[in-house]
Amino acid sequence: MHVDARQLPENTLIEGDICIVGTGPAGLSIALQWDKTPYKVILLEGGGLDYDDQVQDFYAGQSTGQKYYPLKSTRLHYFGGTSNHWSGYCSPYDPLDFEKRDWIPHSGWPINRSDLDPYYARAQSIVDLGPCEYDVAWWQKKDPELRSLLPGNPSVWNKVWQFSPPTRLGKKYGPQIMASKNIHLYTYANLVDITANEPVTAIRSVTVTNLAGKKHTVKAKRFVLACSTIQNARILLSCNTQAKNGLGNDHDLVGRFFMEHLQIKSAWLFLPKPDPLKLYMIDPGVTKMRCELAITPEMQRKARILSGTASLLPYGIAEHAMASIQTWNSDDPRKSLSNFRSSNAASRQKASSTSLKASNRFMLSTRIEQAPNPSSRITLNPTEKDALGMHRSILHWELTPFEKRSVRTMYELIGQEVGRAGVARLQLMEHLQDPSDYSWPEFTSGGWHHMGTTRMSDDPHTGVVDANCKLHGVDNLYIAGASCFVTAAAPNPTLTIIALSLRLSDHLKKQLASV
Amino acid sequence: MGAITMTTGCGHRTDSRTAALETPDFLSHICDAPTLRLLGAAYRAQTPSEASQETLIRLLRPRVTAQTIKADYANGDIITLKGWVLSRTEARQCALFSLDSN
Ligand SMILES: Cc1cc2nc3c(=O)[nH]c(=O)nc-3n(C[C@H](O)[C@H](O)[C@H](O)COP(=O)(O)OP(=O)(O)OC[C@H]3O[C@@H](n4cnc5c(N)ncnc54)[C@H](O)[C@@H]3O)c2cc1C
Repeated sequence: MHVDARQLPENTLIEGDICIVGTGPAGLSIALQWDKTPYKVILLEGGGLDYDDQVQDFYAGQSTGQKYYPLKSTRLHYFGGTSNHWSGYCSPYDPLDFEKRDWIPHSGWPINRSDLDPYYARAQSIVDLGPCEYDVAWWQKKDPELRSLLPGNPSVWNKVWQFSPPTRLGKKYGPQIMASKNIHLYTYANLVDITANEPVTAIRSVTVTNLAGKKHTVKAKRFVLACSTIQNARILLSCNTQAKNGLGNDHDLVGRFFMEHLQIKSAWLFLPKPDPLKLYMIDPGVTKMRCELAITPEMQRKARILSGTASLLPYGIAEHAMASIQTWNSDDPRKSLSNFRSSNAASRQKASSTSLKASNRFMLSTRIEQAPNPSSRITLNPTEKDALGMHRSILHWELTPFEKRSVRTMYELIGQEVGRAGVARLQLMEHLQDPSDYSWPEFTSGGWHHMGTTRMSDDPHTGVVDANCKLHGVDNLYIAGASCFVTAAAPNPTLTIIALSLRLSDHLKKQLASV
Repeated sequence: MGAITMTTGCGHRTDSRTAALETPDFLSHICDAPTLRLLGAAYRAQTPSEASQETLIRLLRPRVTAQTIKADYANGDIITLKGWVLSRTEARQCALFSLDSN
């Protein structure tokens, strides 16, 4: 069932068993698990069924620190959320990513990779991926041309990615949601306030509103905030009437530890003869899987570095490629996407067909986690509000020398291993050549992957949510999405967002069944 | 960048054995002669104690094989010159080449 909240009478009271706020991959993947159950699900979406620039403007904000994309265009504010723009790159996090790594301050999740394994398997089909196979040998058996550059290497391994078409979750699951008898989708229902009992141990209701000036109240037994990393923090910080520092923020953690994936061209790989290196190539829209070069857990431990991967791009394309920070430059996400896509298409077109078939020179590009950093954070702009009266966000994205050292070390290791194997030589790009240079070049980009502002921990002094994604100190408020991530790992986050959301959904079902 | 051919004519001072020493086999399939010279000059600047022809020849003798170079990589005997992650042996070969072809 679908209702446009602008059409409801003012001050409508909406009631259900569970209220999910946000319809991106996090919110929708939870909602779908509740279809055809006896529970009444209230699904709130701040935007409409399609793009609406007035609603999108609620995302506008300021950024300081490391140069970033315009905040307004990095997330989408309508049904399906940012899955309407994502590229579909998927790979699970590795067991080491969840561990406490003594060389990375603030690392260590309260859950293990094995806690997510069954949910990764279920997440695959939600975004139309292939079998849950992330072992390169499985794919190589199917296609012997997927030859490894460094077979059996102790320091460098092949990490598998799979590609979603990419699934636009709103388009794909919209009909099912609309037809559902027990899921009640309300569009143009922007959450602007949360009301708790006194002394703020349980949520009573949330307030939603829209530009038509209609305000409504939603009551439920359990609430799930799935508005993405920046908005989840912004909402909690804004709810500061009953909780002075914001909801769940007794220990000044909400909004802190904002993480992105650093994406940056880093090195050149030279082979003595042209080689297709098919295992590492991607033909957008066609390729189902590919690998990136990753550093083994043992070597990450030994070298005390962050987790990152290197992707390969033939020189023929790379010489024309522009960094995404240079092309994703408009406040309007549609324009940014179009600039970004046309720049990528142009670099492919300019490359000669022979250089695409096989090349003896490849560009290596990094995607790497940043170390969790409390100073990298979301705060509220005290002076600027959006049209609904919510304080706008300020992002301070901060990197440290640790990231630079890790990127450099990663390529020194890959350089060493290709030399040892006698298959190639590697040249670091200029920005990595001086080991005492910790600056970042202007083409340093993020992956549009926002993580970490409501991090997970068993201890309320070190985390905003517990291992079940429940806000510490509040009985019935849960957070879904990458804001709960403790560390960022190397892979794009959405597969893990969905897996974690499915796990949360199962937990909530058990909770409600026991009420 | 094509593979280089190592010429020994035109005032060149090397005998054929030295020419073999100064040919970084794998690298010469990847880098052209000016790049090898640049890398060689960088090695000499970074390692002044090995900047002379005599020292380099002594260090590279009796011969360099692909295995010598792979062993450098395996043992971590690596040097980064102008961003190139090179085995010490091949860096020395470049240095010798850069002296010989000056
Ligand atoms: C260009 C681009 C490419 C990307 N490519 C990849 C990729 O290849 N692989 C990958 O893993 N990830 C990728 N991502 C990231 C991916 O899109 C996000 O990880 C994912 O969408 C996050 O899901 P989410 O549900 O947490 O948030 P979102 O998808 O942003 O959804 C949040 C939802 O909450 C709603 N909402 C927000 N505030 C409110 C409010 N106050 N009240 C009510 N509703 C609200 C929004 O309208 C939206 O529906 C990409 C992102 C971009 C921009």
